[in-house]
Amino acid sequence: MLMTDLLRSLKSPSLIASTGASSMQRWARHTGFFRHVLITAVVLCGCPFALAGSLPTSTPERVNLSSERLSAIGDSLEGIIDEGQLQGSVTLVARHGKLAYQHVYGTLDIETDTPLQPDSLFRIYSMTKPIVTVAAMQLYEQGKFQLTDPVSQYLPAFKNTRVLRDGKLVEPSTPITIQHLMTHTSGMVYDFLGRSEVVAMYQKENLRNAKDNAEFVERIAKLPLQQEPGSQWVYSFSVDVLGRLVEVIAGDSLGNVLHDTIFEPLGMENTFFEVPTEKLYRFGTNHQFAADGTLNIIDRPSDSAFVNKTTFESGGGGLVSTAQDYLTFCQMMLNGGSINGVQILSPKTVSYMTRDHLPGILGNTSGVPNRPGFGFGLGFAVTTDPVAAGTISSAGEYYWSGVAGTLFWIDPAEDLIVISMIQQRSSRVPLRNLLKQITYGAMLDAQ
Amino acid sequence: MRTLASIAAITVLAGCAQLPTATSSRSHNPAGLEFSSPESVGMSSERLTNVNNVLQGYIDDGEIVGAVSMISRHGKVVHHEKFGVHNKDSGQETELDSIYRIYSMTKPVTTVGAMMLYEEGKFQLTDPVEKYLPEFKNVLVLTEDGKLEKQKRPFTIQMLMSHTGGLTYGVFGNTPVDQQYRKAGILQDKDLAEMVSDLGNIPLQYQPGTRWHYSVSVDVLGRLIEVLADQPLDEYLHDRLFAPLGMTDTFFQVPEDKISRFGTNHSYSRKTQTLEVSDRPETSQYTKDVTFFSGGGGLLSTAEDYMKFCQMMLNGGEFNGARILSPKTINYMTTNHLRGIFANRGGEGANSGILGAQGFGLGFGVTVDTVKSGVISSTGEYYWGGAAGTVFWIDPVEDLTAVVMIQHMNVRVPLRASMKSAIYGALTESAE
Repeated sequence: MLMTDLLRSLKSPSLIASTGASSMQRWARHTGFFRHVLITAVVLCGCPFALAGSLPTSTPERVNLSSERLSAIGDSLEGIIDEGQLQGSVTLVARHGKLAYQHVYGTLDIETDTPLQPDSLFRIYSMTKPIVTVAAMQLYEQGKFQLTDPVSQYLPAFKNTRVLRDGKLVEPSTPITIQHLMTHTSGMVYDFLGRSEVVAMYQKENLRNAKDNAEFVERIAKLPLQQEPGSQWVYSFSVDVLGRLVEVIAGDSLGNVLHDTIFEPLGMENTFFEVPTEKLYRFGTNHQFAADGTLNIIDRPSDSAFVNKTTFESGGGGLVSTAQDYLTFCQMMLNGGSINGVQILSPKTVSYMTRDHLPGILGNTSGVPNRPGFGFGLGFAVTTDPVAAGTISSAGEYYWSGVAGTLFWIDPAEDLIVISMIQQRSSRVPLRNLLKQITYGAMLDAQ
Repeated sequence: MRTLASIAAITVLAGCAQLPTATSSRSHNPAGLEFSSPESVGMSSERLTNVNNVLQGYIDDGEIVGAVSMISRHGKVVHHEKFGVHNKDSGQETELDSIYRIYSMTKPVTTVGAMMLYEEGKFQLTDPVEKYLPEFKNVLVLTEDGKLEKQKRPFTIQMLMSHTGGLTYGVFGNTPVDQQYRKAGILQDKDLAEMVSDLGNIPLQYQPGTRWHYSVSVDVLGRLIEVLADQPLDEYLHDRLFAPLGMTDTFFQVPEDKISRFGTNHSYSRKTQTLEVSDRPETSQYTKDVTFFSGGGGLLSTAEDYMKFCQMMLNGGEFNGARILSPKTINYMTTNHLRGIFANRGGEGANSGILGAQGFGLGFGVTVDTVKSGVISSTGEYYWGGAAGTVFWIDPVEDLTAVVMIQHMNVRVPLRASMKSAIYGALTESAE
């Protein structure tokens, strides 16, 4: 409580007026004041005001978590941030539908030395994929398409898509289905992963400058597939294509569909493809270490594509969100498709999406390459065997992450959600595993 | 204070609960453990006397010289008995608090110690061991046809905890790698650091993650703890486990004032057809200045102390107000890890296991098929034993744990199996 009051007072105009904002910023930079004092490691006490979106808060103990042991999350993150491995993070732990731990530490914008806040905005990149897949599955529930339908039925550009096999372009032996798009088994690839001939063709095509989803799909459909549809799990632009499919079926832009069918009903007011001007102060820098170890800023609010949207609304990676908004989304999933009386999907659909689809699609158990113990459902990866994975978790836990290091997981067995937001490409910290071992180590009961 | 409070608690218990006839001696007070009658936890006092009969029978037959047995169910000790002599030379009788060489029953303790650091995020189970112990950098594998080859998968900490990394023991087999262990004097090293340094010069016996092979892995794990916690293993285990759990009689070296509770160790001689004394308090290495803190086999303990450790496990990581691990971590540790480690993809494929019917978790054997093993127990029961014949098992299904201490290096009686039949035979209520 003391920390929260301090935080409020620091934000209050009177204090800033009395010290002068710029001199205070200089002083803060000089002393590292924000780093060390502006921590809201809130071991939640069931206070009357809601700290995060629509989730009620609770003490860790009331949801069978140890507050003492959970505090190791804060200790670890602060160590990592003080070392300069990360610039800052907002981390949430929720169990049994209640937010039980929130830790906010570090810097939002390293050029202005603005401290992170609980409602800071993050580039969530691939954490967009689960949201877009949920939007598509809402249309599925309405009977608008079948998962087994060929994608070309809705996006005719794919009628002529070929597979590159032994240097020759051949007709796919089976069409790309919508289920393939949702599970990265379409045969498409990503332009930044792997070194194949097809990846090189993707890079040359520079798909990322497409002005909208329609153009994006026209262009990607002309490129060959790297492997036969339904034959292998390869991370890809598939969910961007799914985004266009949603647009075509719903008859509206992807941004509008997500807003109308997910963000607005769930009260996710801080999730969008383009940061609104009045929220720009909550948006910061994105970072990456260069090969020589120096920290580079790779995106800044002043010239970010997330601020003045000039490219397509990427269903595979275009969203900006907050930890709290994403928690609302995750809690909806964990609740079996609804939250606060708003039904987004049915529990049956959620359970179908979060099962491992790979054995069924691939016809074998080769799974996600080089990831023993993991499978993939519709829009989410699924932990099938925590022992084979070598990291503590539960069978059936599902998750994904973003290229800037943001991550979440949802554990139905333990009724648990963890979200951590950072802005660091190619982070050197095993953040997901670290949070798993500490969070599961803080549990006072287990299934 | 703790002792006084516990005495008070036990006195109250003794006053209101009918104390079992089998638990006759109350003179010694194991702090923190609660006692009750077998009947109060769904067991029969009368049928539980089979345990006494079996153990006394082994002594009468000359198979063992003495024993201490301890059984608890639903968090209550219902049996704590002593048998025979503790020192064959002097004829000194076994006491309830006699101190035993527990050898490999050290391994679960060390592994719990390591998992506490895991919960703190100090390492990943999938981390290569060489990340923290650079002595293992570039260690090669000696194939069965005598060729040296590179590791196909990294030798990870998960493999260290489950004896699947490629290490061996040196003393139990006679492979070319075993011979190199013996030549290098592994386990006779001055300390764990020296042992790890010696091991770094010897190839692995098999490719990491391809089979279960009992090994010095947990001694290496002990060294890993020392490096990560920046503390000698004896101090670390004392501070993090023994002190919080009230295990006051567990250590790598018998303190001067407790030597009177330390007895002889024995070995059956084929030549003389009798039990011979193989180690005695007067000359034992356990009473000298111990510097090699063997995480795989160096501890001494009592039935009560080890029962506290077991009860902590059975309680989901907490005992006597001290939280050691989370229930989730304990579930994960006591799951069979072998299928997952051997399989290249999520649990399919190889399943060699150990002893046919047994799996292995992190630091514990795990019973995966009680019918295949032919010994009554429960699926998910986990256990280990020591080279001097000591046994324990923890059965989460029946909420039961048993510890039996003896000192006999090559025991010929099926102690674990006979204890299981006697103890499970005394249940009047089963969770199954």
